[in-house]
Amino acid sequence: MHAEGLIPAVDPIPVAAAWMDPMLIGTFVVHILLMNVLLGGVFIALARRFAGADDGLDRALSKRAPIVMALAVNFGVAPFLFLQTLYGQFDYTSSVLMGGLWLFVIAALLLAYSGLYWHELRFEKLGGLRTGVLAGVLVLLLYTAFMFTNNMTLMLNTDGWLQYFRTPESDAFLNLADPTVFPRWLHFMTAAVAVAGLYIAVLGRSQKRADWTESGMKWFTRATMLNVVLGLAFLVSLPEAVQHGFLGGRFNPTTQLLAAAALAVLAIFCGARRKVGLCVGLLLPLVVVMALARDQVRVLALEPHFTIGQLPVTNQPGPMWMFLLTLAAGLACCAWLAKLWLDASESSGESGEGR
Amino acid sequence: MEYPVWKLMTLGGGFWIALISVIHVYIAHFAVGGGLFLVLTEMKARRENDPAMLAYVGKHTKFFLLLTLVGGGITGVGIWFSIALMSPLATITIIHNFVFGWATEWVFFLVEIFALLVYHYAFNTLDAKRHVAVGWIYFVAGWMSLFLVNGILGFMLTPGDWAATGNFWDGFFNPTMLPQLAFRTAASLMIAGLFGFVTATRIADDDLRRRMVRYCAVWGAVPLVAVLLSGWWYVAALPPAQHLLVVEKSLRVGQYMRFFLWSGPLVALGALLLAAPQPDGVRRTMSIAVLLIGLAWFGAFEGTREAARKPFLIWDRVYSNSIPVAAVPEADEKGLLAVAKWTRYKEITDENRMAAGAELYQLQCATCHSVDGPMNDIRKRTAGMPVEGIDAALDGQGKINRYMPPFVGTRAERAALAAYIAEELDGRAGPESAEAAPPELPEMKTDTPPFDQDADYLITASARQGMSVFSDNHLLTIGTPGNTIRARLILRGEVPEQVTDGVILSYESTPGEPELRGEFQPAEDETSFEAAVAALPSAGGSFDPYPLLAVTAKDAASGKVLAQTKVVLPVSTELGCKQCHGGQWTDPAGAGVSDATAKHVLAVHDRMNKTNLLAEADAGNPVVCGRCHADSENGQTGREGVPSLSAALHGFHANYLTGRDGDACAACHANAPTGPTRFFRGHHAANMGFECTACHGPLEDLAIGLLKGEEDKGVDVSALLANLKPRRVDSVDEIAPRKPWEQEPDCLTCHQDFGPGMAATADGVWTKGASGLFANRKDEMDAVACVACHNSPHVVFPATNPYDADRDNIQPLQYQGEARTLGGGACRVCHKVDMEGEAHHPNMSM
Repeated sequence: MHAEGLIPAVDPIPVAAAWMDPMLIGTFVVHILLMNVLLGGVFIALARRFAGADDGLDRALSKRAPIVMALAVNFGVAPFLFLQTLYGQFDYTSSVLMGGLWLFVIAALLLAYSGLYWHELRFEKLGGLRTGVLAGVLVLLLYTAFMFTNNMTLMLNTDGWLQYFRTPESDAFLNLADPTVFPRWLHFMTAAVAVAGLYIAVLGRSQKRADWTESGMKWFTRATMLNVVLGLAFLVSLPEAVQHGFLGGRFNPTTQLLAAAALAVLAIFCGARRKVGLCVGLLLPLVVVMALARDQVRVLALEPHFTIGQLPVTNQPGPMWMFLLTLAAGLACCAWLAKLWLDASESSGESGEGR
Repeated sequence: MEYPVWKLMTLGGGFWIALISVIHVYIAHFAVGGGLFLVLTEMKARRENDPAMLAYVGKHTKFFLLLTLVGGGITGVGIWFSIALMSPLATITIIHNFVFGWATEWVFFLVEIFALLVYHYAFNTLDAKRHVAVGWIYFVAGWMSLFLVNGILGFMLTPGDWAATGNFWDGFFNPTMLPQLAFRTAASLMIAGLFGFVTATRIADDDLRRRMVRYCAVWGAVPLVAVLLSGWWYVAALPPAQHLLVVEKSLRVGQYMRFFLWSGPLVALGALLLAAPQPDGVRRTMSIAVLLIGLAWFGAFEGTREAARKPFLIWDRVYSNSIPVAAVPEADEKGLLAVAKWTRYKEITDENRMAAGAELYQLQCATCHSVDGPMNDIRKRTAGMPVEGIDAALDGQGKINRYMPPFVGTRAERAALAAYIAEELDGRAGPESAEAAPPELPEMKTDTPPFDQDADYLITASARQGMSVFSDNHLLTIGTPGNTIRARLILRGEVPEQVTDGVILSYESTPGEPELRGEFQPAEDETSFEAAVAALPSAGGSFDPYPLLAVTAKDAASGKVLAQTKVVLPVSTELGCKQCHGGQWTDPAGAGVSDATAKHVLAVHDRMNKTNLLAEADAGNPVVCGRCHADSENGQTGREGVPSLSAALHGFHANYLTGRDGDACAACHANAPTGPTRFFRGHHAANMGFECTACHGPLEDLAIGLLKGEEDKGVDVSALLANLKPRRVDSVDEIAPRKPWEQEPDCLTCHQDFGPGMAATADGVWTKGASGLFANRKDEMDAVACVACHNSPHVVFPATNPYDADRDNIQPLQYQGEARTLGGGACRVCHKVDMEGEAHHPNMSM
């Protein structure tokens, strides 16, 4: 049996895939940044707690974490929607193959989210249990991320699908036989710590807490350094055809990799010098380039079977304009709401917390 | 078919979808109505300058935020995950067609989050005007989310013009979009009140608590009016097929609907009761109880909506089990396993039958049926059904009752699936091998009575029906126990006479047979006698479908015996209902409808026709089919507008037993080759090897004729007829309508001019009326009945009785020493002399 014959057929999409690809990547960038702040933030908070830090950062992070989680989940919806539109036949297949392990992501998110609120609202009362709750949240978030890594790689690893037929009473399975899974997951998790470190640095700036900034920049710089190594391990683990694309075989992936490497080195350099603003300025293009490279992994892996350009199109652009206009209005509305909030908190003197 | 299957047994049948959706939908509607509740209550508090009330709004906001963002937000994603796992094909169809609808909904979700966070976190810091504005932004965004999801959900039930155009807007603005939106909006207001109680009953201040509980009661009760009105509008807006499923047809929809109809007012009543004075502890408990009843109430609505969409996920496009409607013809022809992508077995073999059956189960059944689980447990639904019954149920699935999708695949696949369900899931032993030799029947001995060739009289006697099959079960009665014997006393001579005056004909069971005796009465035809003999085949202890009666003619005046013969009284209770409906035979020989069988039959009737027969039977009122379904053979006139018993039984079962031949007839009509009756035993069966279908046609064609006969009488049998496909002709139009028991196969269709049979089949040409029946007809001289010389229908001489070859040939053997047509080549039997010519009918001497 060949995996080729297993790829589900799909019905047409409303507009050319070229319209939706940027939506996929663009919304993913926002999601991954929020996810990083959330997961990395929880990790750093726990790590600092174990190290005995008692400088109020813990509390500041715990107050913001549920809000970040709400937005991370929301911004996860959009890229996942566009992913299913462009690659649904692959992603639904891998989801079904993962079965209950995949569905448990919902329970993990529900528990993690509840845990974050519990942690925030009962911060003082929890006492010794506080660390346990936060550790539980971290485990659940790491699980979620690991499942996403498995799903996103299993959908590309069509040969791995054949596992379905090898286990007669097949229960769900993961993509563990794929060498890219662990390097990829670790690469993303380490990136989360880095981004969260930078977020803490920015938070320190805004709250005028140089110690937080210092701590955050340390986390950012060291995690980014580690991530260069992990990134290389990830690159090495990629299937040969994909790897070749990144190592000179194809223009886009190769330039993306080079740009990412350059930006990462610059970021480490600036991080070491505690240049918060510059690091933020570098991080955004770095994440965008990384997201593009991540997309290229998918494109190259699926190329023998499928490219999104092959999707038939019904040419119904009307609903897309509805979406884009709503998005513009919605973002403007959110910006206004955020401004109201900031203004209100400033005028009421809520800033400067943690002192 | 396109995707792998996440194999679920106990927690299959859509358990995860149902669990996640019911919770999500309740919270999501709270998120909409509750948004309006928040902002309106805030405005009220500010208007009335009531800081305590405002503080309550602040507390309720926190509760609202935690519940809707954590519980609502994540379970919303959860529905998406679960439907993609359970029904990837339908999910991707909805995603691809409505991607920008979902994307727009996502934007409103984002605005909701921002607005709610600001509303909560800046509750005390934002100025009143702006804060209220934020509340309104939240509500509008929340309602817009509902608006968008509602349109796409409505599309799944009523795609409207989308089916033809594939256009986004046609699908979105579908026929039920507006009424459903109105309904959900109204319901969300009620739900807002119910969740309001949770916090309002916990307010410390007595006065405020009393006021807020009353305020919530208004929310919880008043919108019920709008819920009911919009609900009515919603149902009215359904296209005919969906409407039918909701208001008339489906038992399942009915259950949800009934629950929904009484639990809604109960919720409103609970809301009003909460406002009445009572202890705080009671009130708090009640608030939770009302909230939970509300959950069940709204779950019942969603259940009704989902059930109304059966057997589809997307109406007319994708079946509930994710098989696209368009893929069915190919899968039926080549096999589902061959056509589906993710199957291990492509073809059924003896070795893989169970495993392939399991695969078919996952492909076709597991979406809606669990195994031993809470959702539509397949084991409960097939309990007691033999593999044949499950196979037949699969055959007829989706035809008369449209609730389930049709079985998709080949007949071999159907058999494998049925075997898997019966043997693997239900743990029943498989059927005996078809190749096994039929059981030996106990041998019977038939003594031919003596006959004096010079005797003045002789008797011909035969049963009116070659076999009378009936159910003597005390719950369910079909037919009448016994049979009618017709006899003629013939005064022999060159011109024989059929004597009816001054003689008495009586019958008496022969020694060793169940005790029966009685007198014949003159028959309507003025040439013969009739005796309706009530008898059971097992009255003598062992099963005997062919008891013998001695028939004696005496001179009425002198009492002198004029003639004697013997005749078989063919009676059987071998009604094969249990073959499919399960249960055991009541007689170990293989006959008799048991209570378990009768109950299953009645339960199916109740389910399909919304009757209450099982309860009636259990209460001691036996169900007599003929009371509603006219059964002219048993003198039962039935009820106006209800199809005759014959049309109903054949019409119904023809949908479940397609593509079969004589085996379909034999399974029910006491003619199974392994059964104890084997009633078709006349010349055509025993010597010619005919099957029932040779004269009666295949079951489908036979049923179509009967159903068309009912149509002519104005009886609505459209549901039974809709999916029947004729076998011997191309279209239903080519099959002539007919009346049961009156219009039967005409012998002369084959035996043209009474000659040897030439046509291959007699099917499709019916006698014009009862007088043309073989059982009633007379010869060309209008003197002697056909059956007088040829014996009963289905037992035409020379017959071969399965118990004793001669048992049905007594009179030919008695009078002419040879088992053949009475008088065939032996005119002397009646005429005492040899005759010239063919007076009774042409070709007599063949």
